[in-house]
Amino acid sequence: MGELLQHTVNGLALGSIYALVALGYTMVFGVLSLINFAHGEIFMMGAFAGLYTHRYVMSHFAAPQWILSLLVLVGAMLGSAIVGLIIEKFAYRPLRKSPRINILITAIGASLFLQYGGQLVFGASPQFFPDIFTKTTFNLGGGATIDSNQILIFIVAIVLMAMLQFLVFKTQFGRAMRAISHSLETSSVIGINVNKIIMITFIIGSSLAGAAGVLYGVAYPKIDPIMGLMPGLKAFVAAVLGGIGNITGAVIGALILGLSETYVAGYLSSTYRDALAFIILILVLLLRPSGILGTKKIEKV
Amino acid sequence: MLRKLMGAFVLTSLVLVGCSKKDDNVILIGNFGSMTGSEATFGTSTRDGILLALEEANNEGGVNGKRLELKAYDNQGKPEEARLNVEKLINEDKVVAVLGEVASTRSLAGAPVAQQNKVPMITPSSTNPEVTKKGDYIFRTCFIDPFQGKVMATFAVNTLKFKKAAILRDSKSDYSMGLANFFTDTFTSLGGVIVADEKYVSGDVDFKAQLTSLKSKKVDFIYIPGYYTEVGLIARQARDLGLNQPLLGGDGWDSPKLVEIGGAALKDAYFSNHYTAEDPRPEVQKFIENYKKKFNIVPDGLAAAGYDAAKILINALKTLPIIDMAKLRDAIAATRDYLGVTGKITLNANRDAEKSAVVLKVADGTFKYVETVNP
Amino acid sequence: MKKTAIVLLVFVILGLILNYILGGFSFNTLTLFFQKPDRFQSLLNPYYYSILILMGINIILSVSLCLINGLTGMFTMGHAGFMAIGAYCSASVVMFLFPNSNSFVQMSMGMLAAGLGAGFFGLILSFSVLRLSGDYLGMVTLGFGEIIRIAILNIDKVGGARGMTDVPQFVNLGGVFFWSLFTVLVIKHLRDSRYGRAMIAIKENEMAATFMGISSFQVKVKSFVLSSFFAGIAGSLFAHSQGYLSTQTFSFVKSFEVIAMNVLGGLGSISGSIIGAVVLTILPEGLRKVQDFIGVDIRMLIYALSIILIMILRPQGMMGTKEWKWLSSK
Repeated sequence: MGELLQHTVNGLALGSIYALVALGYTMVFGVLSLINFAHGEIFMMGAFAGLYTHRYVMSHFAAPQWILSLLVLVGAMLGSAIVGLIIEKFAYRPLRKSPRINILITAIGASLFLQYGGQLVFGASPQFFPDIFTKTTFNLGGGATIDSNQILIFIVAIVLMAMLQFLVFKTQFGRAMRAISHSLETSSVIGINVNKIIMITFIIGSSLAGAAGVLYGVAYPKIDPIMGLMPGLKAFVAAVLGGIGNITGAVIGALILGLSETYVAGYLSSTYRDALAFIILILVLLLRPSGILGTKKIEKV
Repeated sequence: MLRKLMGAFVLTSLVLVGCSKKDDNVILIGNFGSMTGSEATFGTSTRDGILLALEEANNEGGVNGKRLELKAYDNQGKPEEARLNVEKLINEDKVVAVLGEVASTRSLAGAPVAQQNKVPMITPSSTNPEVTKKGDYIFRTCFIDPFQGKVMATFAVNTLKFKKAAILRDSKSDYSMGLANFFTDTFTSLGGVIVADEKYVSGDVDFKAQLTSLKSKKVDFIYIPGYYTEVGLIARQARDLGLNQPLLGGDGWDSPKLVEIGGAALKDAYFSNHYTAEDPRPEVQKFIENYKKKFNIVPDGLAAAGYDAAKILINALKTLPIIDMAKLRDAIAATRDYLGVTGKITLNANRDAEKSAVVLKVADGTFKYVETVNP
Repeated sequence: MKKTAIVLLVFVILGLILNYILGGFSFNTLTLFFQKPDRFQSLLNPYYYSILILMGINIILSVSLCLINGLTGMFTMGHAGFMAIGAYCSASVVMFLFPNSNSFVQMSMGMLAAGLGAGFFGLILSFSVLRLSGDYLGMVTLGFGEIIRIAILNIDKVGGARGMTDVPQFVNLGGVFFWSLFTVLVIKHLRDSRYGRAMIAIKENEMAATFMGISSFQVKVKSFVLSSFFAGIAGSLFAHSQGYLSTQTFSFVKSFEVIAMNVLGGLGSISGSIIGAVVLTILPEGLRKVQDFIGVDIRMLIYALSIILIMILRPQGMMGTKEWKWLSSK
């Protein structure tokens, strides 16, 4: 029993990280109908931005723990937001009127560019993320444990999801976003500053991924420039599972993915854990393409 | 426009591909290793140990009047790249011999190329027995895993008095899979029981699933015959989950990065190795001093092994007025009782070295000597 | 038909002449295809030799992908998976079933296994096409490719994560050349046939094509199966020229490399696919020298950057949908 509980705890923590990345994916897809393949790399950039922020602060100031952690988080979110904006401006905006396939190929190109660029700039060997939050472990009974980092990750994911939900459904900005996702052309005709809204969407989505990067670094201290590919793909699967374009869906999909991945790794074999995400993707797209919370779309002739 | 650009690009590439240069007063030695990636210190340490040996030889006048130079390639930890490395060294750079690799999987990828082209290859640190079976041009100057597995199994049973083990092995590494099997053989023959045998893949960062499975079983210690990056992470996560049993391992742990990654989680951790910096022998201390002077860091086992392998190669080269690959091969094979930094090296009929191993304990951020085990 | 016949004749004559020379000035018919590379290596630097073999394999991959991406309009990202199946099937069949046979038997059995195996999985995958198109199809095929890679990773008998070593190496430049030519001609023929026109019709406007009576499902399945068949052949050639297989080689990045070859050359053009394959084989090797100068690996970086630039500046690639004379439909 303790084993199941432990796997559940681990799975929820993993799922929460996926959730933060999936939120960014789903937002961008919702607004632009674009699969931002480079999102995983934005997540990676966030982790590195956090690492370098930590190094910079440590070598220049003596700050108390909680300020340090905050600065690292802010640094990461800022870093990834900047990368996200650059990609949007130089790779995606010129292609806004092009066929979807072209944009997807460009997105993949951007993803690889960031991976290999990262290897160049950060070095191809893994680096190690510092312990920025003091870790305490709690016993849950039955031999299972949960540590403060895992709790933190979970809480952060839920809070950010709630904030995002509020943003999209209760603010004017959110309304503009939703308008654009219905029809880009109409929205610009009625006076919405499409470019600005899209930029802000990217900023928000990328910052979330950046935060996820830091939390990932805290949970699994090894970071390297190719770390973003798999989590990026899995976050995409999570978003699709929950219903792409749907914010709550992204979080639910991510938690389900995190849990199933951990169960498979624990009870079956760890070498199949990556395959599970793709199996889920295929099943969802074949059986219920709109996902758990998505709405069905009718294709007009 | 694009076509012209493409054309220019392709032509330039073709030209560049064809360029090369040659120097007759130089003997070129090849080295391939994982200079970047999760096992980066293996590649860089080995290369640095070799560089020190070459520099010392050059300072003494070189080999038969010629200078020794090293051509080193990085395979980023990928076996396919390792093969390409060796092909390039042999076909393009025309080295007289190849030194490498550290990881058995990558040595296994590169060895057939060396054998096919009849160029001697010496691996300083690959311990999987299959490597030298690739052919009579392949040598190793370290012990092999049947012995190493025995070392830790015996240590666990006789010294630590443990009977129940869990194994966590790296399924991407021939070294890890082989060593785990050899360990199991001796451990069970001494009355021990393998309670759990889990796998991971190097590159993984999350081992909680496997560790959680281990938690539910009664285990005296966990044997982790893998490479230092994963070992460090596993140690941390094990302690996070409340698994406080001792951790045992092999020479794949030998890296200054191990302590950096694993930190305090490496309390109660032991591993078998080829060399210890605490060895009081004068040749060892002199080597450490010279290495520190050149590279500003205390050498690890990989550097020591690289140094020894290079020295053995140099000694073999010195016996040949004209370099002929077949004669070089024979000269290397004739190595007897070479007193190296990593111990006395004699190459047996299988072209393996029979040497002692040391058991080290991870403590206070370094590796402390525990005991020596002779073959 | 006539044009193809002439081209074929020219190449066969060329091949026979080459065969004669390399067979030691005698008519040993098997020489060209199954002779060990040593013979060639006396004429050609082994480094160039291996680049040429790689180029041939890439041409097969690129042209077979063109069939499904450029000509039928189905954007798939799982090509590396079929290559992997081909490579491992061929290597397994040769090593476990015919370890002591001569090269001719080994090659035929190996390639048969490779093509059939890959084609079979292509058949299975094609059923997913029923419901999907565009981006989603791409992602599903990517997923499929990864699942294949991970499944192979878990099969211990073929080396699993450690890779498959000592695969018999009997493929040489002649064989690769022959198979590349074969692939190109077959696919050209396909494109010019009724099926080919149906494929292009589906790419242009699937709805209209269906109304015209074309069974889009049948055409798409056939396209998939053929495309994966040739990817399997390429995989087999790869396995038996390298001698070592690692699942790392067949990741999604490999699929994308083939896509890049198509994009560079022009998505709907067979000649374009060939150009793309040639350029993207030579370019990384040329850049390797630059890398030695600078000491840092910028190859993949330039690769990725070029893709982005091409999509923004010249998305139709080098040839657009045009073809060289000898491959054109007229």
